[in-house]
Amino acid sequence: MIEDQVKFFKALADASRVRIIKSLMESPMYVELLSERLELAASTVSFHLKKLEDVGLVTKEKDQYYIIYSLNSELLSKSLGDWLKGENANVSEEDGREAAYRQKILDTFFKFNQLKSIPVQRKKRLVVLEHMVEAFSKDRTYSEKEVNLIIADFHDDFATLRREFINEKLMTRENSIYTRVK
Amino acid sequence: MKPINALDTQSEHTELIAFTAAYTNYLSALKSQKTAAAAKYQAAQREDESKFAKIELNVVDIFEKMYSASVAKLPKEAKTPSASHTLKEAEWQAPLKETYLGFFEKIPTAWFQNLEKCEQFDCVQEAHVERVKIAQMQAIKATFVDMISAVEKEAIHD
Repeated sequence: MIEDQVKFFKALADASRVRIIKSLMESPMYVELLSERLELAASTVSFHLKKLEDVGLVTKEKDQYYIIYSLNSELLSKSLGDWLKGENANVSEEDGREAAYRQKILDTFFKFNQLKSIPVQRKKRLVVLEHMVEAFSKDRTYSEKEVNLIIADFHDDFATLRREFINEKLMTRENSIYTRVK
Repeated sequence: MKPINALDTQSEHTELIAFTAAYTNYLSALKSQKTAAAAKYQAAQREDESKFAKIELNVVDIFEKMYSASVAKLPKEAKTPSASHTLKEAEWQAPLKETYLGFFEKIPTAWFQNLEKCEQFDCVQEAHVERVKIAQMQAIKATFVDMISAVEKEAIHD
């Protein structure tokens, strides 16, 4: 996906992150050690490591008291050409764009997993509802009160959102019992 | 209570002016330092750290403006002591501390709330930005408290 590739190069386009990668090429390290070596605040090192982790360049593993960061050598050993061709050949360009579009909507309408406002546009509202319905299990039924409580974790207007789940056929209602559509 | 006419009334003005000059000098120096750091990081292709330095600069800016607002809010008798005022009324340190330190409580409330949420939802990058703001605010607050405490101690010895 082109968006992921751009994100990858953006993660690399920072001198401090390149220095972190070079250090990790020597051996896996924990934040405090990197902080000392690179003369950066530990919180700044964590910030950079998170960016590298998000693009898959770095992995972390808990080792007793420390979290050890390592380079993803498999990714680094790939040639730039192979990598740019795309490792997920089965993911079409269209699927990639759709996933990016959905993520953008979720980033816009949610903050700390709270729905900031109910989208007016149906297409966007559907993306939001599809995300929220994931909070319901497909293997059980829910009373109206339970549905309200789960929706209230996202947004106060649980009545509107509950109705929308039914309208969009994401849930069914029978005798006030709600079931997530499989 | 000791009447103010027992003192040189001008000295109260001078003290506030001198303190304000010293404190705003500190803030100006801090701003220059942050501006230089942002430029240095930018030149070194350390974009994110440059952004953090700019965030710190904004925080300094906020508390510089709040200092001016706090001085402006001082009661008239604290800024312009007259012979009829008692020494206590003419004191500027206590009201200045109360107003200015109040901003250090009020303004970062949202930063602390955001930080808590970011930690809860494992938003490492956003959490770092909040920590940068909070650390800068605490550094400014600590310097202000140190500086005004030194003035208060001097006043007691005098």
